[in-house]
Amino acid sequence: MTDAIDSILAIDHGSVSTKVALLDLVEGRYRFVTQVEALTQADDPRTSLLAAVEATQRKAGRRLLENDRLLTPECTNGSGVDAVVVTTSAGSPLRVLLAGIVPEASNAAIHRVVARVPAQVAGTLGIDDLRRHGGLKGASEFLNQLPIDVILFAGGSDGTSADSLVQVARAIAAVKTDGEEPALVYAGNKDALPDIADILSSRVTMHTVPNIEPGRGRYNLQPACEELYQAYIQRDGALGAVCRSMMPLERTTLLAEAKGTGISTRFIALWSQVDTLVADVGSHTSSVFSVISGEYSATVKPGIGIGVGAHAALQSIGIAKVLSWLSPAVSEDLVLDLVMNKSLRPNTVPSTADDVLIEMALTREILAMISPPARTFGMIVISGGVAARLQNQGLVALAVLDALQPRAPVRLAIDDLSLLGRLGALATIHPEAAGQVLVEDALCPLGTAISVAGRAKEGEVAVIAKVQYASGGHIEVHVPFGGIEVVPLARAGNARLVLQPARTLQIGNAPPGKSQTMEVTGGSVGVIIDARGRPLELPLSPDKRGEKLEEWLRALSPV
Amino acid sequence: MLNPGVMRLIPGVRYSRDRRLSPDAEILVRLGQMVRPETPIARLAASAPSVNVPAGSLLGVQGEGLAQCLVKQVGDDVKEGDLLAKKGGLIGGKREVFAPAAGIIDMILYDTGEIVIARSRQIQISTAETIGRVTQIVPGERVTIETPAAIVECILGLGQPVSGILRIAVGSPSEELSEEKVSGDCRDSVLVGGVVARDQVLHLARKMGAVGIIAGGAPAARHESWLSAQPAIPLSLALTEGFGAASMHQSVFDLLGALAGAPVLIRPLPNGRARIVIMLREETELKPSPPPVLAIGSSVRIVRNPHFGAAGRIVEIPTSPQRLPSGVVTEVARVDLADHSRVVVPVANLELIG
Repeated sequence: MTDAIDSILAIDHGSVSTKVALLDLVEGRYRFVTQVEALTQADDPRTSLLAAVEATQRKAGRRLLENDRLLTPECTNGSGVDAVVVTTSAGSPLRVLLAGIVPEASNAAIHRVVARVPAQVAGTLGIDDLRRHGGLKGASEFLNQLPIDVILFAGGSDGTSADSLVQVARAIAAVKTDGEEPALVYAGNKDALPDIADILSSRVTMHTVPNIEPGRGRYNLQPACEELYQAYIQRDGALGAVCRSMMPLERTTLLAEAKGTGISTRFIALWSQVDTLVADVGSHTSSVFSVISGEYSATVKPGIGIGVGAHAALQSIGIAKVLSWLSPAVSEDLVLDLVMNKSLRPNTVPSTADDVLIEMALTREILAMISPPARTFGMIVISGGVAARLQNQGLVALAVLDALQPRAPVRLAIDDLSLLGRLGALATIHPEAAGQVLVEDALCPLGTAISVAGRAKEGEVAVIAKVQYASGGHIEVHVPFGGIEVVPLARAGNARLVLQPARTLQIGNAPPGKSQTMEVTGGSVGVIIDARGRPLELPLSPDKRGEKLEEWLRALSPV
Repeated sequence: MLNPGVMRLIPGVRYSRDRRLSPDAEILVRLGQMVRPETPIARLAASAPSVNVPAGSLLGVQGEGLAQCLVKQVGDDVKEGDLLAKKGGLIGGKREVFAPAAGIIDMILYDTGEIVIARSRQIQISTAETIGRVTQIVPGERVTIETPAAIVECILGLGQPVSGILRIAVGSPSEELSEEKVSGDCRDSVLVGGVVARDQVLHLARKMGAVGIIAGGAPAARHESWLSAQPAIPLSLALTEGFGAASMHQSVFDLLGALAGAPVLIRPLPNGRARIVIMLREETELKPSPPPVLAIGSSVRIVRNPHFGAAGRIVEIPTSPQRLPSGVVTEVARVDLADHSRVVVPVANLELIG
């Protein structure tokens, strides 16, 4: 199929809006052409998709639909497209029963699997739970009442005793469900599989994947994640049916948006050759995807976001933390009203400077909450939420530095077209097209940020930066401790940076006071020298804090 | 262009609601009968699943050994917490097993050591949950309730479906529903206020007999306390605009004012929103009300700061996105407000009315 693909329609069916992007070959390379966004109609994916594709037709001046079906493949007159990729994040999280948990194991692996996909734990059923429910019958009655989409059955390293898993399997087999049987993903002790299959294969649809913990402390999570992603897509039957009615199956790829973003994250890490973090603060779900020393990891938090999930996020974080990023003049009531209204009407956008600062304050705290503790990423990409819509990208860069407090020089970029999920889906059928669009259009570089760690006296020179532009010319910047300076360097620009920190401060892993020389790339913001120290400490006095926040904001987003 | 949301405000429509019934349900209403949300329309005697109590394993006895421990026998009535079986006591560890639910001892399964309690049959009543007249009854399937009505879709609903008589308690859509406004006999009333800001008003309104409140906005902090209130908030509440000091939209206030004295239903919806259904007279002439569209001349309200709650008409829809003071670049519309000022508003922050 790859040979035949010139043009692609990339559709994201989100909880708030449905986005349709047209990608096409332009002078021999795959490029982003245009994008349209329409409100998602809850429970009516067909209307949402049709409205968005019709709007794309109008905007692109290209016929894409005929009798409410997508025209494929592309015609000689330029109508239609060759392939369609659809990602979805509109469905509610997958409800997973964790079964087979053995008390002597850490069970961290099974929870990590669920944390990597848009899912929530609906309940657990281990040998302890069997006892708690008074045996098989009690346990099966308990299971019967649980709303479950999937049973993830795991536990025990290969070669260990299968007894407890067999008992749990009997409890699952005893369940009499009135409705549809949930699917079961078996990802446990492989030596228990024959017995488990004997008990369960006639009762549930069993999918078997390699053990998530084949040996004590050795993990293999991805196969089980893939199965849960598959279940997530299949559970949202309405979207699948709409896709089948609108698009030819052989030219359509349907994927969970989070899975697509994970694929893109791995691509970015390969391309940039550095540890990479992609953070997606969406309306209903927030996720982080990372590759550290070649190892991929993901955390997906359904219900926490900057739109529908804004109220839940605020409750989880606490309003005091959000207020700490705002001027003391902003009242708790104002923040609460705005956040609650945003949850009610998640499609609204901030019109005023105050509104955007409140949304970005909440975004900071969501980022801080979901991100891994490592602070040495070489590349950080921000996706979703208000950040993707802001022309003032200095504010986005500042929020990332505040929330993640990187300690090593890091390139910052923004997925301002919200394409990462869809490009990940595209990569499964056409990696070349996905890679070209990702690098040339999807990743909008903000620049490079260099932070100094340690403490010094406020106002003293923390770092002297000598910037030698590749295009010629140089400047020298003295950055006081507690401040941030931005050195202009455009998107296509490169420069050599020589940094001399004060004797108590360090850059990256270098010893305190040791100078550093590095090549840096630019972006819409430039080269950011963050001399606020690590960990970042906000002044305790509200007035002083307000002054510093304003100072940092001015440095990154001059009026 | 991102299409805006819609606030449905329908001055006259035939409002119909089907209440689905279980096949064995007994119908309690007749054709033509007027109903309210709490009117029982059907009942069903349903048996709850039996409960198996693993007495043998809890007492540590096997097989027929359980017989020596039984306090209750097959056929005995039991209440929740009643002693079912016990072991030991004078010397050694005492163990007792209690009934987790009320019912009748149905069986003792000596091979598994279980005591089976058959739970009493429970009567389930289905209520109308709406207002109107019963227009169709299909036994074992549904009861249809209809009325000519005006409909207002609200952004938030709390509490249970309630009906009462619509009573306007304030003089303007921005006026707060204060304690002073909740006066006299409010029995079976649904009070309309511009803003509801204080918990005391809800309690006073309930004390005076009101069953519900319709308002434009309320502080979000109040919502937090209402959600966590134990017991639940004293009456049902519908907000037309959202959180903060948002006035009720003038056209909503005008419609409610014109229908003061009519029976009204507040129906909180599963998605957290609410629908207000105001009964019209049977002879009311109903005109079709197609959904509004984004166009010049469309009536809109603004649903986000800095003009949150303001109403107006679209006068221009620029074709290219514009940069807002917030730094966001998005599609906008120019709107003439009721005070004759003209503002630029993101299309995403507009709701079409109609």
